[in-house]
Amino acid sequence: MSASTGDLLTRLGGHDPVVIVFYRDHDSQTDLLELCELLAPSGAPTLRSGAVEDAFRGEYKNTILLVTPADEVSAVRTLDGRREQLLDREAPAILFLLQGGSAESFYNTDAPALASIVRGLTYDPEPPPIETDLARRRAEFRQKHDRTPSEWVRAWRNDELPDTADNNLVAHEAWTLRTR
Amino acid sequence: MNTWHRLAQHVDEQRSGATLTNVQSSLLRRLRRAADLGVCDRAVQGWFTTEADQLTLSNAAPAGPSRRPAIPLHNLEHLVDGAYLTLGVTFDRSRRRVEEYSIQLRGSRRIPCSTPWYARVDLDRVARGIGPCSHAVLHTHVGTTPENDDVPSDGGERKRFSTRVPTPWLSPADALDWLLAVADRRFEPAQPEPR
Repeated sequence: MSASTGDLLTRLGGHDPVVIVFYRDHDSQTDLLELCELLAPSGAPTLRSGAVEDAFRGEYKNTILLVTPADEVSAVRTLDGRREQLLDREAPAILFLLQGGSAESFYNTDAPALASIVRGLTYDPEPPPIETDLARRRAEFRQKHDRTPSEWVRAWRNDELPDTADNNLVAHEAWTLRTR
Repeated sequence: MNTWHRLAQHVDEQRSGATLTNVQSSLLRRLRRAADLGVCDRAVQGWFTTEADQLTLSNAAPAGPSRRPAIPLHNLEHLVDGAYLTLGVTFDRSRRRVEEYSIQLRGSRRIPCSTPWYARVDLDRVARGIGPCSHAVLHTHVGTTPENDDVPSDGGERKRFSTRVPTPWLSPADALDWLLAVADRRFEPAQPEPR
């Protein structure tokens, strides 16, 4: 799972047959479609499609397909069942799946053939928070700044720290990591 | 309610409705234009990342003077090559709003002795300082360097002095427009068509 536009750029310009983009809700799906179109290589054909079958059509094998199926579970099942045909693709089919939805669950447990070609090629700019990651980041913050995130926030709010760009960005991180 | 509290309320209302991806795309569009003009590396579009609802520059970006990732800028009208941008935007995903942001352009002016210069737009998460007039929740800084600007005015007490210019709502992309347009007139946004 990546949240890096660099990784998304590489995948949009690459030859992997399928890439998965996770979205949080309808609005974020629309925003992510626009982001993919923005980052697609200049001159590369792109097409929004609601039909996962387009991923197998020869005339679209060089087209970056942005696939937003109405039935996401069925789309995952179809791609998983026709893995060999996907290997003919020259440009990626970008499959949009609802974060935490039934299709993501189905993909993780029941679509080994699809998973074998996706190989972790997923993009999710807003993954749900994972408590172990937060704990690790809090420890790293304390080691780096010699204060806990909560202590940093308190000092920042009391104007005890210089108002520099760096400190503003550290404050953003501290707010996110603070414990109430 | 006085002017300053109305301004704070206005900013609070306007920061709702933004999504992380939408803001990211808006910033990327500006930076692609900057790349088209030879002001930054075209690879800039791959230098964004997110973590825990924070949109920042990733380690793919070159390290700035403070070792934090930064976007090096060249060919700006008023700043010598080697100027750079830093930025961070934090979102509240449940309330769908921009919680805070800080976007800074820093460099040296194209004048004899190459004076240090910086400008920055900060949206604070909550009210800070002694009040919404001297420290508006959305404000700009313009000066020599923040390190020299934000120092105590006296020897013993901690009375920090930093000039914060209050502004009406600017989205992160608007803030970037302002910073780039100040440094180079080619970035002045187009005039709207007359009605």
